[in-house]
Amino acid sequence: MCPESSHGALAQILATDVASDVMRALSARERRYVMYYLLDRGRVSTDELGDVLAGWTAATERGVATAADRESLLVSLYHSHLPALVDAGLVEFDETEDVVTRASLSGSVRDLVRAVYRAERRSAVPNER
Amino acid sequence: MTLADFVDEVRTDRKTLVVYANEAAPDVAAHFATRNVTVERESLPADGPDGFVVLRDGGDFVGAFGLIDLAELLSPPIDRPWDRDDGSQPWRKLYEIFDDASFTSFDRRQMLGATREFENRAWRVGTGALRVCFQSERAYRAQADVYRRLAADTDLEIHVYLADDWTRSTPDAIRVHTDLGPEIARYWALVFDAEGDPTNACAMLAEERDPNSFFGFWTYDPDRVDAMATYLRDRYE
Repeated sequence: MCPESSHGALAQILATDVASDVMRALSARERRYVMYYLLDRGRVSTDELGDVLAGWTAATERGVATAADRESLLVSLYHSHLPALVDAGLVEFDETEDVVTRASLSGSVRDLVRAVYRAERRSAVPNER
Repeated sequence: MTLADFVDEVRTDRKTLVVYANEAAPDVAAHFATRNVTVERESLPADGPDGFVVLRDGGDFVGAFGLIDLAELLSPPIDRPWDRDDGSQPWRKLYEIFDDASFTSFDRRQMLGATREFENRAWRVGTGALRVCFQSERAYRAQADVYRRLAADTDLEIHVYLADDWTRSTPDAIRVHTDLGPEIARYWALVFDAEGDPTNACAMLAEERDPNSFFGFWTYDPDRVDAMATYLRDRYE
């Protein structure tokens, strides 16, 4: 961990007025990735989320995600991550269309999603920048 | 049947390469934009994650990996088959992902990088027939030391195909087939049958369409490998 960047993220998190269920929802890496991606897109199919999570994870870990890896990401997406994000009011999930839509988020929640993503990125790649 | 038919056969496959990257990322996927591979692009935010790539075959997910590993596959190190033994370079895993995906505009260095991957497999397996088309005597001369060591350190049966002549000395384990004419002059090929072991058979074949610009594919399909080996043996040995 780079002390400076984690301190910055922490300060930002402490400064935000965010409900604890949102904090809990963002405790898993997959959910942080989904939320960060949804900040940009707004609305995506679970099929695309499966590809994005598989690719993003593989790129972070410098490996190859296989069809089996993607399948197990989708299983945890359906059974754990999406329900947690729905309960925290961060997304809506249309099960008949298999589409996930970002809920309307306050500025502080958006800032938090970006801040935890940036802190994670810096700590995962300490030599970058 | 000709070598061109093998290239055409692979081109009937339908694959899609989806590149997720921010706009500043290098366009490395262009080498796979061929008739059998469609490249699509999805943009990521500029401060977002490192780019990644998803390969699909007829709609089914095949694999996903970092754009950086694809970039490294396309700028391979100049090494020797026996230098690649630890498997630590992440980009090497991509060869199996790109099974039967045709590529275009590979230069000599990129061709050599891929060739090393399949030579390394032959080196590790150590038995079976390795057939290599070098186009010209000059190209083989540049690799003759590598092949001498491959022959000395393994039980491989090695066949070398040249469009022109070869007058230098060669170890007994290497059979050099010479004066084979225009088809061999145009194609860079390597076929390893792994002595019939379907998990290790592999081949690559590419046509030099413009000077230093190759169009082709590699494959781990044992039937395709067998057909290519049979073709070379029946036609040129």
